Amino acid sequence: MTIYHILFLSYLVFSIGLFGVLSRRHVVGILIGIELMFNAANLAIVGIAWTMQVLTGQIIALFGIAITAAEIAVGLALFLLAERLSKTVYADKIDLMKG
Amino acid sequence: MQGQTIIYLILALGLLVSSIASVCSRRILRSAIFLAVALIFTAFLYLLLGAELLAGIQILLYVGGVITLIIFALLISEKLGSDQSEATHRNIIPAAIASTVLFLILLFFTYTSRRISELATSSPMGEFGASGELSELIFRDWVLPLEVLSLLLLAAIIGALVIARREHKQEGEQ
Repeated sequence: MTIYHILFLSYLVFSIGLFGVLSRRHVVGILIGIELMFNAANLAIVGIAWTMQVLTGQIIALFGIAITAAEIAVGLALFLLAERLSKTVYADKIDLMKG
Repeated sequence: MQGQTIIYLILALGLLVSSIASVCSRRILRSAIFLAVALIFTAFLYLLLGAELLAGIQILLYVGGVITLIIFALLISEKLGSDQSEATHRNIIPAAIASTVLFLILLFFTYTSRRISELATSSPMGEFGASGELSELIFRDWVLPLEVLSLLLLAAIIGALVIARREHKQEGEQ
């Protein structure tokens, strides 16, 4: 197992997450895709830290996880608000900013 | 070394299958559960890479916190599973093309990079027991980012509360 294996897996998960973000209609589905992409990025960071034998990569991944938690809390709050105001959960039907 | 690769392959297969299931599932609640499975597989991969503290935090914060939040938000929102006939995906082919192109670009730059091929010649074993060193490093060299991060979390909590609050007061006044 080398760094290539980890990076390959990370890229695959990142692409799957991007596919989810681009193709999902449900707002929470898009957030789940973003979570997958974050996860893939963290995996790549930890893999590179493992190969280079440094601990800094793990610290950055740790901070990334905490930032993701903050982001998902605000994102879900926005989802609840948008769902309440526009009575739909689908991202392509929410048009609150249309005049 | 051989055993490590076999464990890696099993975990990678599980991670890929649960990620694809999470992205493609028609029920959004099922999709959240598959995301939790994918995150647990990633935590085991962290264990394989010698990051045991990170694996614990991944399970605590992601699977325990984020997934719970997502499921709560889905259950609170009223439209859960109301009309199964409606399409859950749109623009599937352009999205597939875009993500495949991104994947190929990333692969190209990885396999042509000299720095990464230098890194790949050494493949160290995962080492456990770095947690003490890691926490020392966090609270000595990285203590300012840590404090800024706690401020960010506080701001996120307050922001989420303010955004998601139902505005009863204004309705009462009007």
